[in-house]
Amino acid sequence: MTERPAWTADEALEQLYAAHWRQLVRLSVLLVRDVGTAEEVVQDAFVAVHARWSRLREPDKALAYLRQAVVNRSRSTLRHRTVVARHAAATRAADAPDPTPDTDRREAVLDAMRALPDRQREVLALRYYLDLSEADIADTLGISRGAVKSHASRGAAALRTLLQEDL
Amino acid sequence: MNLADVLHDAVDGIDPADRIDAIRARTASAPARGGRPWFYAAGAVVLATAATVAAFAVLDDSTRSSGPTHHDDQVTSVPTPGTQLVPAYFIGDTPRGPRLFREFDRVVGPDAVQAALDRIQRPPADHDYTTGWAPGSFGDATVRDGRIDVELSDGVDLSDRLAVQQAVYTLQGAAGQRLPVYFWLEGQRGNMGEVADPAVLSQVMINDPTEGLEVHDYFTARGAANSYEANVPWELRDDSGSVVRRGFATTPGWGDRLYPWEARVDVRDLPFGSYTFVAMTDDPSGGEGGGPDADTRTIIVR
Repeated sequence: MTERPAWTADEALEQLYAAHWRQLVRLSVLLVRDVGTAEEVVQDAFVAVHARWSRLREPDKALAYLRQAVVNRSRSTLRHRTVVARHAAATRAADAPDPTPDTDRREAVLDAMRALPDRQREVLALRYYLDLSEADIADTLGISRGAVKSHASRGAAALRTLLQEDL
Repeated sequence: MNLADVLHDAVDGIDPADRIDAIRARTASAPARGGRPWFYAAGAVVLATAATVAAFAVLDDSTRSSGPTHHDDQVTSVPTPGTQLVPAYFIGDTPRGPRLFREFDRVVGPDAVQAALDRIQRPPADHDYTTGWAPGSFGDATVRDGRIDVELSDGVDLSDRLAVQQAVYTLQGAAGQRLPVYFWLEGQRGNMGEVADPAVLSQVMINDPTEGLEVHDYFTARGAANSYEANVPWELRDDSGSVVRRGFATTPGWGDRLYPWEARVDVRDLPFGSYTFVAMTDDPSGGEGGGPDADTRTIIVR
């Protein structure tokens, strides 16, 4: 059934939030690493999708827009964060919780993702975390399918190498 | 190693904080749902009705007529030849999420627009703020043919709307005109000129005192605000956070844009030391809606 309820922007926001908030924050964590930053990024993306609802009108298009907004905003956050990175590095060491094997493993994965070039990291997250098709990844990132393929294979190889060194 | 399993394992345990209320507050276009006071939604209303008028109003009333004037009741640094004062917008926190605040900073160079653009690629003077632009994000800025052209460095994108607005407000403020801003990348001009969006502004800003200003006897605080019933409460707090002076300023209007305010503060009886001057929007809800917008400056009483 292809029921398309004529949602208002407010209703669409509530529905999209209920269905996708967690997953999109987790996607952003794969890109920016820090949970608080990821929440900010995704919150901004939801505000943006609300503003564009009259042009999107369909939940599928809205979700595609949200994904794109999360990826783009995550990328620009990383760039902006270099400004304050030195300060943050000084405080982070003291705040870190006691490590366990599980948190160690997860941290190692997030560290390895951060070490990849932007496009490789984004392609891996969209492909292996969101399980998007090559075509959807190409649309989300505004690159060709061929570029998606090459970023995916180089990224996967690099991530495997980094993780084998670490784990 | 299955990469899908590895990535899911890394983040599936993360349970993000619930932010639907914050998102609703930022997307509300009328006093709705939570019974929020009108002014938390005022930015959105202004955007929908009179974006351009409001943008000019901010510039005309607060940048020009109530910018830092450094009257003789303040100890100020002596202007150096070849420097000038430019408005520089930076990003700070409000209960409604990050918004733009303004500093007036002394910069070197003959071209105010270029100097202001350079200024926001360096950290703000006020440590409560941040900038959206790393050093080297931009090349040249030029004003010509009724627009402002800005070169973007390779790899810089414009997806962060607040950072883009930071650049737009700064450039327009330095140019003294609300001209559309076109970003150029690799010799190509962007399709659309960026215009100022009043919804991104903090509803209260301090122009004077500047951060770290030394004062004695009296100082005059000035700024711009859009505050309930034109009332702008202010406080002077000491090192421990105790309020040692309080009062309120009034603006000539409220509800549709930011208006200038001014307050004279007596510091004659205060011990020497560091204090925080705080200007707020009035909050008739008593904090229910998230609390007032506020801007702060550190001053030194000598």
